[in-house]
Amino acid sequence: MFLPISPLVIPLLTAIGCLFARRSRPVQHTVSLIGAVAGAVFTGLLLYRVLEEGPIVARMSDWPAPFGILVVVDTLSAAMTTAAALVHLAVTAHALASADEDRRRSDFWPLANTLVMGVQGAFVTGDLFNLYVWFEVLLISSFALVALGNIRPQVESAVKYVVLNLVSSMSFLVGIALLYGTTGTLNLADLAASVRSPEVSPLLPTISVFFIVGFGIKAAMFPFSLWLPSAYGTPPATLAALLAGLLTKVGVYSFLRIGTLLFDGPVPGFRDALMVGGVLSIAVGAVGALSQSRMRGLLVHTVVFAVGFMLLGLGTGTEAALSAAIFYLLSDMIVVSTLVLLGGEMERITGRVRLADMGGIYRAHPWLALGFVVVAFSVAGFPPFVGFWGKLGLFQAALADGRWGMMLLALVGSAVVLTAVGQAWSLGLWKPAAHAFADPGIEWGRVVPLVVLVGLVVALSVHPAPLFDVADQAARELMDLEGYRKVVFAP
Amino acid sequence: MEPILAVATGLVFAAAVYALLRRNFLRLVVGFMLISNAVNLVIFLVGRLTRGNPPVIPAELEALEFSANPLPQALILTAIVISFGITAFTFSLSYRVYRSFGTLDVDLLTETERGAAPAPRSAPSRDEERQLPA
Repeated sequence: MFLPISPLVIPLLTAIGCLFARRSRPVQHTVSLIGAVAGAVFTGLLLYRVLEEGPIVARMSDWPAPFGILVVVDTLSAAMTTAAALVHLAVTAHALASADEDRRRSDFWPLANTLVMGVQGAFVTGDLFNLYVWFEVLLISSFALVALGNIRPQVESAVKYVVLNLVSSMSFLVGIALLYGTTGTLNLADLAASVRSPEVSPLLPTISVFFIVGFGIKAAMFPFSLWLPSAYGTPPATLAALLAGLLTKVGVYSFLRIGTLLFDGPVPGFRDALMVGGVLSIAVGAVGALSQSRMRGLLVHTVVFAVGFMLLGLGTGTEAALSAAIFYLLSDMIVVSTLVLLGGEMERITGRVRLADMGGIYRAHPWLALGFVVVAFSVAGFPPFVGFWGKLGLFQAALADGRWGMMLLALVGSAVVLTAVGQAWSLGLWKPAAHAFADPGIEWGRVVPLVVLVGLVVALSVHPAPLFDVADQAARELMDLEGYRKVVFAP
Repeated sequence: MEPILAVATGLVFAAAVYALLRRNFLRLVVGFMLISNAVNLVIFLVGRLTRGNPPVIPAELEALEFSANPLPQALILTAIVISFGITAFTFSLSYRVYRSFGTLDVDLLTETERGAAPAPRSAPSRDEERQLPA
């Protein structure tokens, strides 16, 4: 019974422990590390059990569905919690080494853990209003984290981030209210049946617009993506890696879950809206990455680009496309956090943030440069890296669905991002150092998590089959609404 | 009753959007407070409006015909608590904006757009504040 709610309980206990240990940095660090390791172990166990025995449902206070709040862990949820816990663990390990300079205040640890709790809660909940509550948990933690530190650019980006995300929450909440008003239930499985009944309200397409705006802002889908570059571009790299790896992915997950359960089918234009949003995100992310003069700015624009690809898979909507989108989503959580952490290392070594001022890293730290090449080219979708496998699946699925034009645009976008990361490589790493920099050297605490993450990306690149299996099973379960309903309503 | 409240809710929404589009950050916070109240009214409205019919089912009846749905009120309670916390945060953020920039005009907060590089290692914040007009 503990296993399905463990992704929520462990970060909560860790956050409470960190709050009590505010006075003592070593205790706080130990508690955080133990919590992150436990989170990774338990989500891993959860994924294993779901793959072996099928979806797990936990009823809070044993209220029967559809009245009580449920935790429903199917393959998609379990895989997402596992990937999120891995990102959390890597970022925690990295932050242990970098926190003293990055986050002077000890508030970082409890907030990071409540953020992870909100993310995990959004992944496992089976109730629509509960999803909103978890969104707010992760949002208010991220608000405080983005503003923490109080340097001017951070305060400025916090303003944009906060305002847009509040609008997103309100849009989502109006959508929930109207949906409840027309169906009388908030249980996702129950809703899935209600919106497909013949007497469904003609309001449903209008309601879906509120959800698209709400999730679109969270997922950074163009035209709602403009808060992202400044919000992810200004905090320290460790924090930006956590945000980039988790937050937009929650939006994409919500599109996947809520989209397939409620709108894909009953709302005719839903797929097309996501398709157009996806292609525009690819274009804007790619051009944005190319136009940046700062290393971090370049890297965070690829987040928008990657989200575009996932939305493209959702917009195609066939089982193969969903499977490819899930594969891309899971691998991108790891890839993007690794990339942002690596970018942070480049900034730390050269002491500069502009690409033109960098350089000389290949000469000073060839292994670090090699890691950057692996991860950056994976983001661009260059074979044989993991990003390529995800895109290949998406292209095949979309071509099978006859979406030639969209795919051509996506291909052009990939080429532009390839140019951008090539530029990052040649300007930031390959060319001789533009300014002589005092090399601070390699710190093991920072390097070990990076080595593990890059190793994970390489492992997924050369042996993507297990991840493909997970994604296939998750997509099969997503398409099987009747199966989801049966699991939820099982006595 | 419902049409009147629906129109009133629409007016609150309009006022909220107007306030959210202002350049002054404090007005923006007021806009957020208004919009969260407008959303709460929407949730309230979808739960049906009745007078004098408590949603308690007498023993001899299976279900009630004309009474308000009590669940939206529980939802509103949750939403109020959440927006209370977020309002507190946005107020403290507006104070922080004023301390850091000496203005509340959000159009003047363009540092990251001009491509000014944020310090890769966070400068001690208190030193920076001291140089700015309070």
